[in-house]
Amino acid sequence: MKKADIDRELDEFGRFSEPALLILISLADGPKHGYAMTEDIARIADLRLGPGTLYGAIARLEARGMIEAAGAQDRRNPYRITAFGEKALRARLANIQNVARVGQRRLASA
Amino acid sequence: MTWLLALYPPRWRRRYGDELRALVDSQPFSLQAVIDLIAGAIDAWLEPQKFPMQPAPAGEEGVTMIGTMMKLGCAGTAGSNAQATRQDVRKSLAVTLGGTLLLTALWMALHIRLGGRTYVDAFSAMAFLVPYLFSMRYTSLKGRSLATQGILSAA
Repeated sequence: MKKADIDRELDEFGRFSEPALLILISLADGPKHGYAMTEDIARIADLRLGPGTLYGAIARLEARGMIEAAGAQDRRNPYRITAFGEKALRARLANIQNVARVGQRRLASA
Repeated sequence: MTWLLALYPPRWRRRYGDELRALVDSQPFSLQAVIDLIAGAIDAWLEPQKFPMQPAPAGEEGVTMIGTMMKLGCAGTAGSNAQATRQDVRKSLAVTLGGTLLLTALWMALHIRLGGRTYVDAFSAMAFLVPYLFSMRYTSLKGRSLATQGILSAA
């Protein structure tokens, strides 16, 4: 799959694409369960995902093989990012970086 | 808020129910979370994902009376292979949400008129449960006889 196609995968998530991106970023430094993800995302993005939104995005990411369960602990189930999820995250972050660079360049020359 | 998890499809609940319940238990009650869970349940019905199911630990799945009855096809539950269509899911959602709103409004009206009596407050507990049980005739109980629907809903 091409880099652009991998990047478009997250676009297909509709209203869940931003929460899905934040989940991938949260899992980039190690496995986390739902509560730990919510707290981590609140810290890094100043956004508290609702439980329905969080699990809507988790179900989509898991269905597409971007994250996987890392083994249940009590009722909590930690997730880890897969190699494909890491590729998708890198492609999306590179895209965001390009857009931000162009935006900043244009603002500087305005 | 955990009662809202009953709004999610059974397959979804089997996969994520415990985790979501643990997450909801760890958060204080908020209207925002209630709305988010309802929106999540609607999404789970309308956009079912093909997530992998994890095998249940031995003895945990299918040991309920209803589960066993459905599996064995006894008590008149056999003979239905009807699958819920997207339209059925919409009907089920409409019955659940519409019925819940209606019974909640009725409960509030009775509460204002008669005060907080036990039998009046029972409406608040039934406001979701009764419409949800009725809505099952469009999904998990689709194609089964009225008697079977009644017995399984009451059970």
